[in-house]
Amino acid sequence: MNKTIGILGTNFNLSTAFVNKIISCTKANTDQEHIKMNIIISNSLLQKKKLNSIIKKLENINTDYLILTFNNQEVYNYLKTITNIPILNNYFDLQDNSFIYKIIKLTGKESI
Amino acid sequence: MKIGIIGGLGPLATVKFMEMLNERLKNDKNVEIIVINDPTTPDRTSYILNNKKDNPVFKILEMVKKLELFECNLIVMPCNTASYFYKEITKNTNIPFINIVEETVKYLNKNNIKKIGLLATEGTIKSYIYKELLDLYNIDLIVPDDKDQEIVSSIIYDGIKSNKEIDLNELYKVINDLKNNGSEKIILGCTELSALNKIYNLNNEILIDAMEILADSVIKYINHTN
Repeated sequence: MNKTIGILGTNFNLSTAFVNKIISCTKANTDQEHIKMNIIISNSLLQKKKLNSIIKKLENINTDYLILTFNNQEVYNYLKTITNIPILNNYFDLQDNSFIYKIIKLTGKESI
Repeated sequence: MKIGIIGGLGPLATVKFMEMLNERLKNDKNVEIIVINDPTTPDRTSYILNNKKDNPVFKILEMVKKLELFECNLIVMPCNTASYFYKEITKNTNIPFINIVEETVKYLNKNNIKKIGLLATEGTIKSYIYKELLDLYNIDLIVPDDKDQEIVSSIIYDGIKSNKEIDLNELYKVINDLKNNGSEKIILGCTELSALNKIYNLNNEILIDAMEILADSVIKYINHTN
């Protein structure tokens, strides 16, 4: 199982810190054992037109799960109407390590 | 401006590169970052040393195609060894691509460095990707001897890539050997070593970090385009 996660972020710091956490918590002896990710960081992600375009592209490149590194209920609700890609969170908390472990498990990897 | 990053080569280096970019961009609202991070890309050094192994170029080109889909204005790849595939990459896309090796060599030339040490994977060293460019600028390359190269390779693969403890004294020993062999400066010519530098702040004036140079080049490109 080699699932790909899509990470959508509006803040570069937060998104990068989140990616760093996933990598640090994944058990891997080689690069190849890590999780595949498609990461989009854009200030205009909250606009519907932009979201439509990005989601279509993420679907085209076989993204299995979506994660939002921002909190916006309206965007979350809208995303649920435009894509079948499972969205793993409707609330983002960088300190929530249990979410990181959940992601690692879902992608078929092991956590440290 | 959309910056596309070919990532996963390796994943730790990718995220450290993202941090370097962020330090310079400071959440610039006019810049978007797209990272296609495929760490399942076959090992670059393995292929360079043995062409019978899986060729990483196919996954690299897949990532390029995905970045094209996102209409990136610029593509970068924080991996020195993968620069071996620079010609293949630029043949297969019209999007401007900044080459980490080329930028680093240009930096050395600009700063009048004539004798440079190189800490890198065996793949980078044996494929001469640095040597060929350095020769154009008449810059002498000093590489670790076999024993020291084993240490460097072990730090990269058994240490950083495996997320295991590293004995920094071993790295400092290799750095000293390169210095004693005449290196004016030493390139951290593997982005895993750049990641190590980012984490531990090796803080040694003799070191030139190729990944920091790449990050600077991205900013120069953005400013120039704006």
